[in-house]
Amino acid sequence: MSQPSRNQIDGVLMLIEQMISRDGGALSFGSYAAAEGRLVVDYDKGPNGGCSECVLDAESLKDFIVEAFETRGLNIEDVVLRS
Amino acid sequence: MHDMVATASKIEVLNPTASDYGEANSPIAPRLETLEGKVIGLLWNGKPLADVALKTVGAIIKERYPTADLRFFPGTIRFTKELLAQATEECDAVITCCADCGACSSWLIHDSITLERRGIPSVTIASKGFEHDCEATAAAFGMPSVRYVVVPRVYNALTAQQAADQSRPVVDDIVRMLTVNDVEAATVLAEAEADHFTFSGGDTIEALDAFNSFYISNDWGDGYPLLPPTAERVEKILSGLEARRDDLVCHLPPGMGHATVEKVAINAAMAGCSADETLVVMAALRAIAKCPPPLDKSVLMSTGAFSPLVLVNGPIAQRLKVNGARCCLGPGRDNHTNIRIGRAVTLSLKNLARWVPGLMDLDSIGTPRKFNLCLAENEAESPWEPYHVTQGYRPDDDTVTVFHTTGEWDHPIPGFIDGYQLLKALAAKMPFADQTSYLVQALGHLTGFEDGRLLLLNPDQAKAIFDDGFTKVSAEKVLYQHMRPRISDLIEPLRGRKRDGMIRPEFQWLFELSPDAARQESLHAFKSEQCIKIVVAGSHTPKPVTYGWLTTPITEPVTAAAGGAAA
Repeated sequence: MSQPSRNQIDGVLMLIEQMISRDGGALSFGSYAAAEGRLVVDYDKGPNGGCSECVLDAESLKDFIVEAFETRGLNIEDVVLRS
Repeated sequence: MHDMVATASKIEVLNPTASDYGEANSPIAPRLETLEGKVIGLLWNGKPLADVALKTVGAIIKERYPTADLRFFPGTIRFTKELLAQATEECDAVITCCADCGACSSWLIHDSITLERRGIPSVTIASKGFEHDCEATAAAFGMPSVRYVVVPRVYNALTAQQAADQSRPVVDDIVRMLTVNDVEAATVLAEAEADHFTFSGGDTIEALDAFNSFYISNDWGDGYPLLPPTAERVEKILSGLEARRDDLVCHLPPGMGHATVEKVAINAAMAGCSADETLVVMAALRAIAKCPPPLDKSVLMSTGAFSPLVLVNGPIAQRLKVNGARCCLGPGRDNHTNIRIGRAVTLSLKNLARWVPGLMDLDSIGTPRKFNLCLAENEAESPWEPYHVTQGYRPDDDTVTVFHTTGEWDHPIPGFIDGYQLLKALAAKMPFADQTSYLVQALGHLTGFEDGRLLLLNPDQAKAIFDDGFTKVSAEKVLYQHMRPRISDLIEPLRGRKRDGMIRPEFQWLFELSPDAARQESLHAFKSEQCIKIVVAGSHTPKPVTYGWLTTPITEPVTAAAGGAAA
């Protein structure tokens, strides 16, 4: 697997954001440390963030982000969600 | 006469197929030949009454396929790895339920994709309103074709009986989605990796023949000889566009291929389009892509003969010589632009969206409408405002409207008393019994799943109706009000649907009438007057033509920007 470019990171985050945007959630790029494979994502839960059935919980969201990169052959070791 | 000089010749042409499908495309698993003798897993994510839905669906499948083994798997919103492993080990196919909240929709589709990648065909039952969550998740995890069906309401707002009732109508779709195979698309993708191809021959004609033979054998054409999409020809189109070659026009259904400006230009080049004509093609493709899911795929992947009709409005029609007058949907010199544009739309659907018979076009018999349906409105001779103005555009806007047509009927009216009587005569000859989706529950709750009629009315008849004081909208209303078939005729094609519990509750009474009453009473053939559209076209002879359509027609502006944003 290869390291993602900034465009690829933005593209994947845009796709994941689609899953939470209808409940007011939003994701944006924070930072990416290629050496550690760590991606920091700014996460706004939105007004429905407290509803566990409405919005993906933080652990699910992190897993989804990592897996979405894996699906594209891109390696992310760790995702940090920053509220 | 010119002598043909036979010298060795070669041509280099560009690959017309999409480079990418979805975001990181994976095909779905091969479907089963039958459910007979198979183990079908019913995976419940713990949502209230989703278990009732699964057991209802399972019972119907068991009735139809007595040797099928239906196994119920209770789980949670996020299925455990162990449960997914067990389902993989035991099942030939799975049905999951229910996607009726944001998080559970995402997880169900995610887990269905996991099973698909393990070779297990799956279908998810989703509630209306959560299609977006299903589509977003499918895109994120690289399987845009993952299958789901939609039921009208959220299960936990229903009684157990209502939950069972709303689940029965989707069984047909579930069975079809588990058994209709379109994974051959992966083969096409593999063949499409080269950027270009070179063909040689003893002379130019032989090289052209070799090119056409290869493209047609790959199903990259419509069967007629193609113009070679050479780099020079494609660059000429691209140089006339403001958009960049890699700009995305749309993700084109049904295959959701990346329709970039360059790829659309290649297909337009094969049809002989100019740059300006390619802008019209791009607008038509965007309109097709804007059909809301899941109908965007369903209408093109149907076993019925659906085909897009492209209507061009605005000054661009005259500038490009898109014909809206005599024989505008026929062959010949006057329709050269219509033919180029319509053909480029068809080629783009085939090559950028896998709209290929046996792949993602599952049509039973087919129709010549799939070759080419493009015309302009005869705005110059119409007494009414053009179609696109009725859709909120200005008269000087250039637009394309796409109707997914279901059939074509010509119905001459040899003479008429006045405009009102003409409308009644047109209504009397209007075909209505091919589709009656507003009466049934199969997809009937989905926005845009309405049947309608597009009446191509010649200018003289339009003027007679206009002179009697009818606006276009009021004329459409009269047509709607007078299309009232006998109830006995309306319900006869629906008796099988009635047997399967698919008639909407508010129309059950139709089947409770006595035979005499059903013959004497009538009902609207369509859901509302918005289902009737009039477009003025053709020459002055009184020979109107009607097309049936399914899904709400979508109008898209012709713009210089690839994605349709304001230029």
